[in-house]
Amino acid sequence: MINSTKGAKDMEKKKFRFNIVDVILLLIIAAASAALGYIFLSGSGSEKSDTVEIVYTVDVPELRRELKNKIEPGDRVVDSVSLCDLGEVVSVEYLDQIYEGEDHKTGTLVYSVHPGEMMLRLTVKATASKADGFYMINGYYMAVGVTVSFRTPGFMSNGPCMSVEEVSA
Amino acid sequence: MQTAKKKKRTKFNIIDFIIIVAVVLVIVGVVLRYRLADKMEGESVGVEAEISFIVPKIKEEAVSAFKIGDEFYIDGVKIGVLQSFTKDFAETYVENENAELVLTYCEDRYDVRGVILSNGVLTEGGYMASGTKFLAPGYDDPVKSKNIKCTMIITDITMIN
Repeated sequence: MINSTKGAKDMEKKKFRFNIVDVILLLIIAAASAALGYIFLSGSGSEKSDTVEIVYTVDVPELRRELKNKIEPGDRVVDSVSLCDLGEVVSVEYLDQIYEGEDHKTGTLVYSVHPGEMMLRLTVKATASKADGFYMINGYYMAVGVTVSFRTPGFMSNGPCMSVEEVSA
Repeated sequence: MQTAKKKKRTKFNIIDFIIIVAVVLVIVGVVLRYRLADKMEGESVGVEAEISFIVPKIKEEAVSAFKIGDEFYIDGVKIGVLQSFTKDFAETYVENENAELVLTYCEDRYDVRGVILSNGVLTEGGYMASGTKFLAPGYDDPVKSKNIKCTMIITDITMIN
């Protein structure tokens, strides 16, 4: 009688013993849950995520003339905050900074070139994903109107994105 | 009976598994840390740099707070020591009768131009003052020394060695 009770207890103990197979099963379940969570929570399961080449421009207005020629085509552009790579400089243009004055005699607007400032127009090429229909460059949302705080090895500034275009790879 | 005991003694359990995983993670961590350190050291070079700057349109009292030898900081990071500076009447653009801008000089304000001698590292991504603070021409934000806090525009960074 005593033996049979002990045997039953042993059996019960054995039944609840945690072993390597249980660990493997738990790991598989955890990995599957993580994968499903990622797919559903990120929305990438329902949306198609394409990778495209884009070219975008950033204007930096009211730049002092001392800051000319600090960027070169080929420089990498990095977001100043997150430090994510935003692509490669394709071209650099220095445009006149236009000043809007008012002719007080005639009451008309007069547009003239600012003698001490210029506008930098930066054209950058990057690979973007089109997850959810938006252009995302390494997780950075890029669209016209977005203020881009950027840095290159020889220059740092910020300015609005003025255009985004898809180009064939 | 003895074989059963031996079998029981060498049975693999959850604690063993956790220990093995922990040991593997530690080994991976150590390897990654040293590889990363090597990579960073390999890509950066210790340099001395001259940081040229302008502090526009400040009052004369503020100009007198610039002292040669003062250490300048950005976000608590030392960017260097003031090596030299000049002051000039501040450049100002005003409208003429045709509503166009012309350059003039404001005689109660000064533009301070100077050079800060800095130590840092040169990486692929650019110059890092004190090895941690990225700086480049175009920087237009506050800096401070023990005598002054002002907005400084970095106009150039030249590596000395």
